[in-house]
Amino acid sequence: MIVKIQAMGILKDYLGQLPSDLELPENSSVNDLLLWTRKHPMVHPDLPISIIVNNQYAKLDAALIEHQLYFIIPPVSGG
Amino acid sequence: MDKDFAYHITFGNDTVSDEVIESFLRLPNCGAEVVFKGIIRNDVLLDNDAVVAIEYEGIEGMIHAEVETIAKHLYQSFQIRRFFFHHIIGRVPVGQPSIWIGIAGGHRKEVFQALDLAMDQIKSTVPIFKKEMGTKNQVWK
Repeated sequence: MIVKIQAMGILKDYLGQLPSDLELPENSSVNDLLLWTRKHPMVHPDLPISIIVNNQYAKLDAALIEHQLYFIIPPVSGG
Repeated sequence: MDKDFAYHITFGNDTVSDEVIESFLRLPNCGAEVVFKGIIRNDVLLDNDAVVAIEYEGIEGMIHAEVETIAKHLYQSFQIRRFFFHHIIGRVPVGQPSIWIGIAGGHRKEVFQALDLAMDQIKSTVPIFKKEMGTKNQVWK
């Protein structure tokens, strides 16, 4: 299955140039996308990471939706 | 919900004036107003390189919804009647504000408590990210 991904904050530096379309196994979940992110050698294992979809924090067990855009974010730091 | 309760949520490159905030907050049945501005500090980054600016980015489609949730929670918890939020998305030099929060309510105790909780929640859920910019170094926070 294909999903669109966009990293924010420090994860942009850690993940580098991301593919506009990411291919994952069929029936992957949000947690699978998180595990894909954590496999990257620059991503520290203790860094909290969240996934955003449709302007909401995604639940880990939610199924990924084909061609949907997912934001991969570190802890927020506004203010 | 109190008919007087209202919130203002904006973000972008522009700053906001004290007059705009005061005009939004002022109500005849509110005895307390607080306005908080978060100002960029010249903290030391690395190798005696000091922060000269902070660059902010965000998931703009989500900022409004998250701040709206915070505003409604503050109303439920403290019966505030006005909540004002503005955040810069872009570059903010040292000495300039990046965020403005204004709250109006009946009495000082609840508006101070609401302000404190508002900032805690903004810093934990609103998808805004900042990069400290020095003359030689750049550090995501």
